[in-house]
Amino acid sequence: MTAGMKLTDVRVYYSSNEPVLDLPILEPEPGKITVIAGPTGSGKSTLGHAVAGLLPFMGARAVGTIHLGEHALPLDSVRKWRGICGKLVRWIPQEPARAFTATRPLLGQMLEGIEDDLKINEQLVTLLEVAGLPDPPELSRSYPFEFSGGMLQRAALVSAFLPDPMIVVADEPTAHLDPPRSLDLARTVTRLVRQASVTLLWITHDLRMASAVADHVVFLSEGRIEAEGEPGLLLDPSLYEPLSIVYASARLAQPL
Amino acid sequence: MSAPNVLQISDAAVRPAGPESPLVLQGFTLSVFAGEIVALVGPSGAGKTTALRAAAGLLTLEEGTVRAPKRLGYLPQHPLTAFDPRWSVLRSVTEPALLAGAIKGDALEKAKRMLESLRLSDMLWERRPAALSGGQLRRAAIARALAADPGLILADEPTAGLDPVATLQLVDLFHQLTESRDPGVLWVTHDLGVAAAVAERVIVLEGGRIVESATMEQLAAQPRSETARSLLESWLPLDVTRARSMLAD
Repeated sequence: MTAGMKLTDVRVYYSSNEPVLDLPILEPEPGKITVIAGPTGSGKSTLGHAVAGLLPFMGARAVGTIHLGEHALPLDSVRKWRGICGKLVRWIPQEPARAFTATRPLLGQMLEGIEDDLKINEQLVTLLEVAGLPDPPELSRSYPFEFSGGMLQRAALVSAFLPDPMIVVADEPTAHLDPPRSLDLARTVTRLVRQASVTLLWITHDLRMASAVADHVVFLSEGRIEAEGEPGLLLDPSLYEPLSIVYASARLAQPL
Repeated sequence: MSAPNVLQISDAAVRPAGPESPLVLQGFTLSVFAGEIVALVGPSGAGKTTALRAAAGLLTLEEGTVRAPKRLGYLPQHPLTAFDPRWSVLRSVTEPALLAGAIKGDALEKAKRMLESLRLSDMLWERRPAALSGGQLRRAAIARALAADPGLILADEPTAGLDPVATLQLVDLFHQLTESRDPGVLWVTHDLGVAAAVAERVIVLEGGRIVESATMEQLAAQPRSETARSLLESWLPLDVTRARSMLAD
């Protein structure tokens, strides 16, 4: 389902009175990949938690509203998020491999909490194929420990795209993968986004990965949007200051 | 090379999961000289961590020998595992020097200097490891690994999860360290950008065997092994047009 999301006047606080995130407005383009880039501590993950409705569980104080299609969701309400979080919005943690328990077959865990069985079948087969994973009968016999970390990460991705989310938030999904597996995962995500017309927020400090996957980039610094636009802006000289993430990325990008 | 070698692994074979399990390292020969940083690269499952554990003497070799200094610093992949969860960070960083025979006052002084040089403010010293951020904990683990003046440092993916700024700072720190003192460093990574920035020599591992050993320039210009080629081909450049075309392939 392609539908719009808009964040308005979002401010998130942890212990101090200085907001860790301060966004007057943010409107990711539906059906595209928006990369949220920035250094550690710039508020990237907090933004992901906000969009996924997880802030009340993280001990944060938040104001502002997230508009999802016809829903207006205040960040300080847990009640209004019921039925949204985990359905319209899916959030994938950094190490999805850890989200699976070893004692039950993978398929059941991927479909956990999804009620609409009939609808799932066809879509599931398509998504598994796009992600290069085994078919449902095999997944229903296999246990998580029989798969590599990369495959489990793709399995977590596929389950995030079921049944029909508007928004998927992926927080550093390639942080623990080696380069061949990262590239593989990035290809899978771009194919899934195209296939399912989902709005995807990809949170990362890896500017090389951001350049490869982004349709649109939001560059955060100290909780505020410092720059926003085409992926090429990541290499904009105005962001190239000593000790900046752009400078460091360039110095670590020598091999090819 | 005239510098003494601080690590010499010769023809090592290891079955880390027991006598019936598969060989994870075989015919493994590697040396690291004092003051040298060697990067050990390879895809997941190549045996990189096993090689480090063998170098640290944590595994029994089926064949071959390992010669390493008694004092070595080991940086595990997950920094939390370097600490006792019940102890303060300062106590954990003081411990290696005590084990190496230093008297308590000296060990404590040394630990404090080390934490300061890694920019960990004294407000954090009495905290338990779980109360530090990922980046702080990583630096504290380095302080602990360096606290007993090791002749050899074994680092397992020390930049995993760090942002580029913190990664570059760690790389610079290791350069200063190898210049000012003289430890040899074996640095495991799967990021060729980090390998290029930190190491003079890159060793490529696949299936428990060394398939290539070269400088990063040689490796990038003319990879001889399939593994090096695959790592280079999947290494995204910092260039929107080229990175996107790689994704479309």
